Amino acid sequence: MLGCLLLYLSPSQAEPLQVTLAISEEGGAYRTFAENLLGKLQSDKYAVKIKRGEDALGGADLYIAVGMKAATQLAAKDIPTLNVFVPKSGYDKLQREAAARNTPRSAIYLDQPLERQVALLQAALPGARHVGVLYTSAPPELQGLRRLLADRSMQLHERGIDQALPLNDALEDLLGESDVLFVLPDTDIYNAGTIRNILLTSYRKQIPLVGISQAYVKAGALCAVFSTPEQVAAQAYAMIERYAASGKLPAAQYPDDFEVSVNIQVARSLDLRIRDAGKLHDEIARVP
Amino acid sequence: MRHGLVSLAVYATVLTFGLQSIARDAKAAAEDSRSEQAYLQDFPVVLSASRLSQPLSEAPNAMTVIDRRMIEASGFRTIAELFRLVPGMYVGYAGANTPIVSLNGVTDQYSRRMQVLIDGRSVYLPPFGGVDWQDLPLLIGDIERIEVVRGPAAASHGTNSFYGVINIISRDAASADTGTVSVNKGEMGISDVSARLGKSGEALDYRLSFGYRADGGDNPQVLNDTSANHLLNLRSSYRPDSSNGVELQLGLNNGSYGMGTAGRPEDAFRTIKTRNDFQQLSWLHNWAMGDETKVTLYRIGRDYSDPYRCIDFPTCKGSAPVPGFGHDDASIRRRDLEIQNTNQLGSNNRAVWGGGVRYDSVDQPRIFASSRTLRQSRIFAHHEWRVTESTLLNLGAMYEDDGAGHKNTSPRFSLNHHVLPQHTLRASVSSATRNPMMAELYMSTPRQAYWLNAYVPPSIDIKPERILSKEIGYVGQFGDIGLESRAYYDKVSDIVMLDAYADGNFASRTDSFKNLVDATFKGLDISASYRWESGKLTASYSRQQTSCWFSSYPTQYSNPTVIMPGVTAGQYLAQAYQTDYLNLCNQSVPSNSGSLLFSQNMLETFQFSLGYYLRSKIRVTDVSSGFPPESQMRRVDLRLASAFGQKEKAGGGEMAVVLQNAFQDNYTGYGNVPQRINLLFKRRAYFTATIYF
Repeated sequence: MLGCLLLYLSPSQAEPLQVTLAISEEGGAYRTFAENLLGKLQSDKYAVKIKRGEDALGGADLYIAVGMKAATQLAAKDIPTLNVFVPKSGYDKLQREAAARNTPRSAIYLDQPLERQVALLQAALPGARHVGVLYTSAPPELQGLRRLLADRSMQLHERGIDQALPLNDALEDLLGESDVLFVLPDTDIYNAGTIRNILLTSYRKQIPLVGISQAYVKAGALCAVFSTPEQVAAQAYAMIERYAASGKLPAAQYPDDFEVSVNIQVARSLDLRIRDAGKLHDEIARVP
Repeated sequence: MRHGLVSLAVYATVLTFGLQSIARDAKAAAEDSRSEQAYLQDFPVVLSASRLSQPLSEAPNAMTVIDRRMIEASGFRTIAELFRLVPGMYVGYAGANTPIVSLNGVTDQYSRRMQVLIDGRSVYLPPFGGVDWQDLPLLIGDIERIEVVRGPAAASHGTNSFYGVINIISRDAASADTGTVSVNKGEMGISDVSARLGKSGEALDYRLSFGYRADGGDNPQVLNDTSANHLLNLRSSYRPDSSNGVELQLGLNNGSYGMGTAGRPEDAFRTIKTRNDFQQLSWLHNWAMGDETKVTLYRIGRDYSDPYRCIDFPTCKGSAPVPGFGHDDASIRRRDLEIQNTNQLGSNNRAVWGGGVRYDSVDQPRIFASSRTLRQSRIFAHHEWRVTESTLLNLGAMYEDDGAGHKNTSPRFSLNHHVLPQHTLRASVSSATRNPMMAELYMSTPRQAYWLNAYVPPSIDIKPERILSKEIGYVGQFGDIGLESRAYYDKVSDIVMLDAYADGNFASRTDSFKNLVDATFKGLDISASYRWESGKLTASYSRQQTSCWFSSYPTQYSNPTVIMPGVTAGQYLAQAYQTDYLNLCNQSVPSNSGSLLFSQNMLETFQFSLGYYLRSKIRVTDVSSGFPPESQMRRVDLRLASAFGQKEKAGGGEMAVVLQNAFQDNYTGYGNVPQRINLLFKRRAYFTATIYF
């Protein structure tokens, strides 16, 4: 039945593709993404609806779930869905638990591939040998990270935070043996309440922090690689186009385009001769 | 609408299943959406431009940084002593409770040619322009780091950044999640206790410190130089949102200081009471693109009361039934408002600019006929231009009105070139002015009343002193070894000095102040540091030379009146100035000075440190030729500490023993009267214990 349905989706078909954007949160990056995508979808080919919060789902040919909340809601349904603003680990989990496995479903991950992050680390801090990470529970990508670092003669130093080892103690310990603090996504460790102390402590010890978003760099991290909502929107649009043309969604993927941001003031204060963001971007863009 | 219909066909079942699934996964979903938040959350600007320090290799002046680790390793318990770690800096004592700190020479006990800032608050005070180091409401343990700019830096650090700048940065309010109690006990009656507690949260942090510091002085039989003070210091910060921060700082210090010299009835043993307080409010706003604006408002109050000051020398010295003593009270106030903007102009230009206004007032009836207020104002701009990847140009100037009729501009220029990534050469020319102090401008005291001589306000306007410093420097890194060196040539013009017998009456002395002397300071500094996993070594050496000459002559320099057989007043004065000032000028800097601080962690819990401090003989300008200079100092301080638990964590702590002048290489200090000249700084030990809770 699904196959028959898809026949109607060829570009020559006059009837527009019904696209519903299910958005987890208001404002911020969600809004920028939605506005960008809506801009691109303004053509006769598409009829777009926006579903916010608890709005009724309504019918559509393709759903774009923006954020984990929307993704979780839609994962339970047997409907074609493209997920964005979802970390790879979160999406993988949803996939494992998904009710219907035959429905076209894909994602653009929020995280950058580890290779790209490590490439930035190496390009920004060629002298770094000891990379420190903090987490509350060991993330699945830790093993991969350790291997990638080892391939580049860098060593991973890790501390798991729990009651026996509070954040501040772990941080002091870790900074004592690291050349750089490498952020893993973990809001129990990095949040608006803790970032101040983490950045001040690492700055006092003259250890740079490599973040995972522009916000980290603004706050005082040395650099970060991330994709902007505009870049994700462009990639999502390309995937929607493919779906419209073929009825198939490409496999879940990392963001293609990305940006590198460098806090040049922090770099200078730490006496680090770091190349500018554009050069770092070009260098790590060569990483497959 | 077939697609919709198809979807509808399965809608009901899916929805039912979906709801169950959502309920079951509510917790997991919350976690997952948090992990999305890890990427999307917003943060406040933590390392803002004003918090970041310039690396040594890009600073427009030579700079020495004393961090908390060095402070601990040094074992010093007073702030003034820390400056022994700065190349070329003089730390002397006119009694254990009266430290003198100066860079370059030609200082007297009212060292007044440096800017001293604590968290941006300028603490050199009228009427004499020095800093009462013992009286600052700041515990040494609350210092995060000290940056000492060695050279004039008015463009970036404001008024009076003349010989240099001492910039003390206290521990951030957010850094005190652990409570601390610390005790020092030891020889010379050392008895200090301090406590610190604090809390840091998402929007509000505070750190509150209390302390009591006391000692019985160096040579209690001869000098009454005891000190005791109670102090309180609060630093709190509040961040209403990610782009604004408000900081409130308060401090209070009540001090009791011994004063008096045995055998000098006019300098009787007595206790002086002081009260110092400050309130400081600052607001920092981070604009987009890394720009920021900071507004700082502060007030400093200092009250000083000497209950038994000699106000009639003949009576004080004699045995008259009514001794000639009286109260000497001073009330000093400073209010200051400053606005400073930092603008990032592309990636290669940064500008810091702003202005401020300051009211200084002094009420001290014994030396001023009426209370005095000076309203000073200033504007400043500093531009950092990265000409190429490896060349940085710093350009800046300050324009100020000293409120006493003088308007000055102090420009600065420096070029830093990274010859290799880790090796930087710096060439700089910088200037600054020192505005005359209230005492120099307005002091008016009868003869043998406050001082031995009478003072009258000068009849000729005193110009601000001016310094022009030329310097070439090098900052380099060889693996783990950091090296910094500079050669400098400073010319100081119109140094304000005593204008003796200003009124021409050679029978009854009345003095004034006048711009009299020019001086040059030449020198070479070198500092090195080496850090390894379990320890650190810093060393510095400084070679200095100075010479002085008259820029204009004392008022009575050519007075032809014969005052002794065959000697005119002018000849007498010429001789006196030659002997007491010009000939001694080259002794006003130590020709050799240096320091070495070594610390090593051992056996997990022990830390051993050794400080070596060298200074050749020196004489400050108010010690006349009849008295010997301060002798050479070659002092070794040792410290052994044993830690338990974790540093700065509840349940942890440390015990330490400090031995100052361990090898009893005793040396003399400042002595301007016969009773003081041979007092020795001897070996002393004290014990310290610190517990974190």
